Amino acid sequence: MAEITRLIHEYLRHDKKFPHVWCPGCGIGIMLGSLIRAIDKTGYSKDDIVLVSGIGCTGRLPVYVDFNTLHTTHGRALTFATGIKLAKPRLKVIVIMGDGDAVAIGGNHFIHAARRNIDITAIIVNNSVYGMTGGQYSPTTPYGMKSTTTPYSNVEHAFNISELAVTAGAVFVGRGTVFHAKLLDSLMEKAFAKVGFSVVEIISHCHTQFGRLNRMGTAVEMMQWQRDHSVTVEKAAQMKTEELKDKFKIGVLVDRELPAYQDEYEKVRRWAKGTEKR
Amino acid sequence: MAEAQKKKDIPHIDIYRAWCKACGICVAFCPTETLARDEGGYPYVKYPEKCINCGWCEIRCPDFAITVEGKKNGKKVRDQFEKESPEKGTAAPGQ
Amino acid sequence: MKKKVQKKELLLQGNEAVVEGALKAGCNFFAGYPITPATEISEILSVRLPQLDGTFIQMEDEIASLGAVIGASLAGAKAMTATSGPGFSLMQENLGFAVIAEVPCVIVDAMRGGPSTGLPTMPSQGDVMQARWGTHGDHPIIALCPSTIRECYDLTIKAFNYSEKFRIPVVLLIDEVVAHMREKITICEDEDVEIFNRVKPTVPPEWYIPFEDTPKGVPAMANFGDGYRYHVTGLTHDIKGFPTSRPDEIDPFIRRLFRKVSQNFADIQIGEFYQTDDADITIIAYGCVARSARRAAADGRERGLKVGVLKMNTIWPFMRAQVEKVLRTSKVVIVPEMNMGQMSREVKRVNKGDAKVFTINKVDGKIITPQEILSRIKEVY
Repeated sequence: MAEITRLIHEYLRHDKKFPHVWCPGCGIGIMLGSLIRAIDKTGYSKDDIVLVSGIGCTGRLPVYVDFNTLHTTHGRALTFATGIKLAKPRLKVIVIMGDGDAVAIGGNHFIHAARRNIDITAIIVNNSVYGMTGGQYSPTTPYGMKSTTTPYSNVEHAFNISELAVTAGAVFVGRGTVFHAKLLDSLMEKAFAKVGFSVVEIISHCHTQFGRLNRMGTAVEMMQWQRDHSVTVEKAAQMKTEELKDKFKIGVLVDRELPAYQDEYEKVRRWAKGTEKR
Repeated sequence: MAEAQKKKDIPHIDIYRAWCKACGICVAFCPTETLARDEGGYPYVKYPEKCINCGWCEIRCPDFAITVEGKKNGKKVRDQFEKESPEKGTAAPGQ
Repeated sequence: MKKKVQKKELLLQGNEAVVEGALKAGCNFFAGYPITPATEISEILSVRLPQLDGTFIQMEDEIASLGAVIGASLAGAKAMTATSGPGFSLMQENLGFAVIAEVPCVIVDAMRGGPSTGLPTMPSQGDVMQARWGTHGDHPIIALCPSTIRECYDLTIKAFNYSEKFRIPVVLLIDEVVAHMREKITICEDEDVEIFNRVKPTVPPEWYIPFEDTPKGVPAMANFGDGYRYHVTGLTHDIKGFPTSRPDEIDPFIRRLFRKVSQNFADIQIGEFYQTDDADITIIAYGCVARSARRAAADGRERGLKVGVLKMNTIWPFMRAQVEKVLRTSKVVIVPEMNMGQMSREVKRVNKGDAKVFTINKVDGKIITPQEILSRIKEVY
């Protein structure tokens, strides 16, 4: 077995049923590979990693990996993660969410976790649809697309998850696609190394639901779409606005320094105890 | 003798059928058409000698069902291939 | 080494006594959202917890508050939140999670008039049934209800103890009257208060079965980061914690959740009988109404009526044995409540017919007075 896969097997729970639950060609499997490789690079022991998820296709991810894993209620993963991080700051807390999980039902928690700048990495797999429940439109379903609950066409406008994270105050925001799996490795590595609220948005595909309803083809064809519609941040800087019309940027969108919540709260403790003057 | 030497340097591709869901990603994005799909849609190694050990099939497999074991020569080809790629990830094969 | 006796005489509000009790129990994490009439608990803990190396955080809503509390508890903290009816409604989702994942935590609900925004500054006892069945699905729950400031302190400690002992969320139902009323209480620093901490696994990690069906019904709980890597989920799970859809695993799991409470009724159900032995008339009351009930009983005795009181401190699980006892011995049982009859429904349910059960239901935002109870007694007896 080659090194890359051998490494992945070190982190899988082999008493769980494989192949995993996701559809053939689902991007979550590709992203899981990147996640494991990036976690391995952090140097944290498995005991010190907590992987938290919400509900949906992504919610099923933690069960397959051998960390402290927590599968919470829909949209609330970040709130549980906040409690874990504050109660035991030495733990590395990583949250996996889908687009509905992160910015629909959990939208409020998402912007507040970013605003608070709590040291958590949020990994959001954005496939533009509620896959597990059968293809209903989500806050990231583009205008004009079909879903099982927008049978005539979606008349709502989509959230740009990364831009939302930047505006809400995340200190690191990166976007990649499952087609660019190696870029995902490096984005996650950078996000894990960052102290503060970091976000990695992963453009993925749901060929089973979204692709089928919008005639976008197979997983392969949807990955080709990702390849053809993404531009690196560096390249985009040299392109004209009209050239970028149907493109999205990938790479590091924001990387800035701000003190993380738990470090700030350490100050509060010192003020409270009177060991330091406010 | 020369023939045997050459064979040894070809990267070894393993496909773990029990985990493979025949999604076709590895085949579609193989830059050298080393892989092909059988009647069931499952991948198989059609032209092993074409493999340049780029590893993308392994990295992109959503089911951890394909591995590429690089041999000496193969690694050299891969290094060269990666050097030619201007950016990590983005200039991927298949592009 | 002999400890110094430190007696503290304090004039405390109910909410303040809850804080003192929580800190005594070892609470080191609080997440909450401002709401009347529970806000004082947040305010005081925001001062006290950082002094003690604990953590206070104000979350974006009550859903997030209980989420953070559960997360903190999984990481080993003794965690609590405090709210009132509207916030308690929002917490029901994660309350169910704490039940199924067996995460110890304490939720204070300072009851105010409802439904909805209702009467923010006025008392009620309208959340009795919400505490029992607010979250969906079959589940056990423990809910305690103090009627004095001393009980606010003691029952908060008990709430933490039960949550840690039985790995279950415990609801402390206080009402607006008790939350804001002040009484003098004496707290001895060296008092021998039993503090129970969750039982941790002693086996090596590879032997650990996180949701094992033990005779006690309560499996040992490893904290995240202690070297026992396991899966926690809100899905119905097997003994290892992994989701299951096998009937032969689902049924014993759900039944164990109930069993861990039901086989400990004697430990959990706390209440007091006041002069019920010879009573013809027994008042069953809880919360601030229990205060009026005791006064009504005393006044009644002065007038020659044999009145007793069963004061319930445990609301859930329902104190069936104690209630049945007074139903057997009394001719008349009166259940005064500041709701349309939530506990009286339970009392009537277990009444075999030896006693007549009458209710007093008051929902105008005012406390039930001893006079009102007495006149009801005169009316029916």
